[in-house]
Amino acid sequence: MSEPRYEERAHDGAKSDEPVAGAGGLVHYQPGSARLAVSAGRGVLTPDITLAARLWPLIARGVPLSGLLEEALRGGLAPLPDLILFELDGHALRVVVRGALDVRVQVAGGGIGGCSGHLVRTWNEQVFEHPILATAGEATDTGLPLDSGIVLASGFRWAAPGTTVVDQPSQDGEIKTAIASAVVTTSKPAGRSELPDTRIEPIDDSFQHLFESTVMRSIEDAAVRAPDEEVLIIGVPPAQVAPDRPGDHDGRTVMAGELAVLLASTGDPVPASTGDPALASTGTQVRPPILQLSTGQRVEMDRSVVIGRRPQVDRVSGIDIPHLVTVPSPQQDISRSHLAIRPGAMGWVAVDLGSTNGSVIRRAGGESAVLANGALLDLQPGDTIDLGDGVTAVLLAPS
Amino acid sequence: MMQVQWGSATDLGRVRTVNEDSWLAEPPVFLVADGMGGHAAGAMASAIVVQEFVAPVGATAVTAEWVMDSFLRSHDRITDAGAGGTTVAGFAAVEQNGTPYWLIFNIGDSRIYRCSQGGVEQISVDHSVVQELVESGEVASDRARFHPQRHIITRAVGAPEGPQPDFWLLPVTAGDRLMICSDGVTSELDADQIADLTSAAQGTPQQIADSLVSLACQAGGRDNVTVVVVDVLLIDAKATHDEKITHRHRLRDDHTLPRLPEITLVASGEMA
Repeated sequence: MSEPRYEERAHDGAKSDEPVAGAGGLVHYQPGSARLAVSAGRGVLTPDITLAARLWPLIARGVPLSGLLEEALRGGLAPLPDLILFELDGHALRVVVRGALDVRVQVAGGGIGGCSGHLVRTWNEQVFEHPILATAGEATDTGLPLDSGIVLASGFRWAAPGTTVVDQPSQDGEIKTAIASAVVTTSKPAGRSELPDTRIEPIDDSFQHLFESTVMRSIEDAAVRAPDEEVLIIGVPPAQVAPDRPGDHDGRTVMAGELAVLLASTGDPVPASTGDPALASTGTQVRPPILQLSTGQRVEMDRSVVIGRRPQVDRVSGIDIPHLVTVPSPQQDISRSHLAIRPGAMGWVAVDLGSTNGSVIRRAGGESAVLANGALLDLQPGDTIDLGDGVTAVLLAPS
Repeated sequence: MMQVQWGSATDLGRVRTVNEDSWLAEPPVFLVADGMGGHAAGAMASAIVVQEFVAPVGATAVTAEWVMDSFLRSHDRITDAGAGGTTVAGFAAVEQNGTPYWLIFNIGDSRIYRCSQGGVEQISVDHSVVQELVESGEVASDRARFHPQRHIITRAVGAPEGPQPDFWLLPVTAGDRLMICSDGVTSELDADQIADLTSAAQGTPQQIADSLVSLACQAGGRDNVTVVVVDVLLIDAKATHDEKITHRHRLRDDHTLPRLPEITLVASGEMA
């Protein structure tokens, strides 16, 4: 008979006093080199050490099988390793099997079934009603009992409470199990009976940091998939789905921009910047233009510029940090972040940053254009920007 | 030149056996680094960051290039040593055309808050799985700190793809208070508690830092807790405009005024 088990959720502010579904029965495991993580009728068997370590905290917390599968799929389908996920839910056993693994289940009434991942490209999922016995991987009757924990295993067997397992090799070589009338008591979880406490601490010390500690994940790992994206992955053969494997990225490639800046530096705390768009496009050493303000400020246009009464920059990556130019605005005409001047493919672009009063660009040829409401306009050397309050800025060609 | 006052506090917490947090509070640079990767590795990684972010002797300001370079030097040393990884959250005094600014930087799930005129706002954005869930609407932000995956971060110094910090440039304002904390605070205290403690009018930065750490430990202390608090007392900007204008901008509600249309008087006395 199975007792409901009350589990304190030590890491949440909210405690759960509800009985944990699917409790009861006992798992015995065969020591080996794969990983088995089990708690309260849920678990995973997989040769992938990292996946087992990632799933163990979720299993310990009672995350349902669908949540475990979702977590396992964070990197996409292709990196999903061989695994068996199982969940005891009331009177049913649900399994998900991928790869060269299989589960053999005996149900009440004598029927024997199984679920294997051998022939399918994704995984097989199956539900067995009123299971009595389930075995996976290498499981013999000399396994070690496990109540809750993560262990090195090559297989496991689960028996419903109140059953005893007797292996009787048949003449066909098939192993049959019979239900004995004698009842082996498993009403108390192992560890509180005369058996030694078999909850096993992680053998590999490097696991410790994964339990409730901050874990670093690659960006691809952590990509949140929209629900319809996940549906697309299910049922699509791996050949059509090619997510980036986290380890394939060459970190230096991503940082090419910053690396270029660094290489140009002399190692001083104030290295020269090489964000010059002219340099980028022509490859020759061209001096950047100068922005001359009526306030007397001169800005070298080696990168973007933001002008305003009190400009600021919100959340940019390292290579995008602009020059900030603060100008006086006694009439509070000029917005805090009024306009930006950025390098474009064909020269410079003036961008209104949603300023209250906008700006006017006076071209060298005499025409004027209003720059307001987030608009963009090209900016040529010789053009003057009037920001209001008597502040103007002229783009001067490099001398 | 600006005058700042600061305080810092750290605690192992009630559960961990090693403090993997490190912090730096030496003007012009202030930061908190929360190391990860197993006992010695995490502490080593965060300690490396602190070493690399100490400004050159005598510097009253640094540059954005120097900060990015410090990230790269830290990353190289951490990966060479196989020392796990670390978050980094902090700020450094820089100059923008003569105006003093805070260059605020963040990678990971430690946080920077600013208290300005009594209101506390979170400046940095966490690089974490849970933050992405909050942004996509799947998790309510006030439930985020209970989520089972709250400890999974998506960027760190030491991660294979190289450091990818976020940056902010905010003008230094007298009367502002900046607070940096590791997730040992944000996973134990809710946003209101953090805002109340941070904006406490009575209290030196040291007292504020101590109270945040103390309350986080009382609330559970399941992780290392570290806090750095910096108050800006006054600035003497080497600005091109005069001191009076700067002062007035600081005190007044800072809105841009729309230009009014001109009213023309017509000769006969009517208004057009």
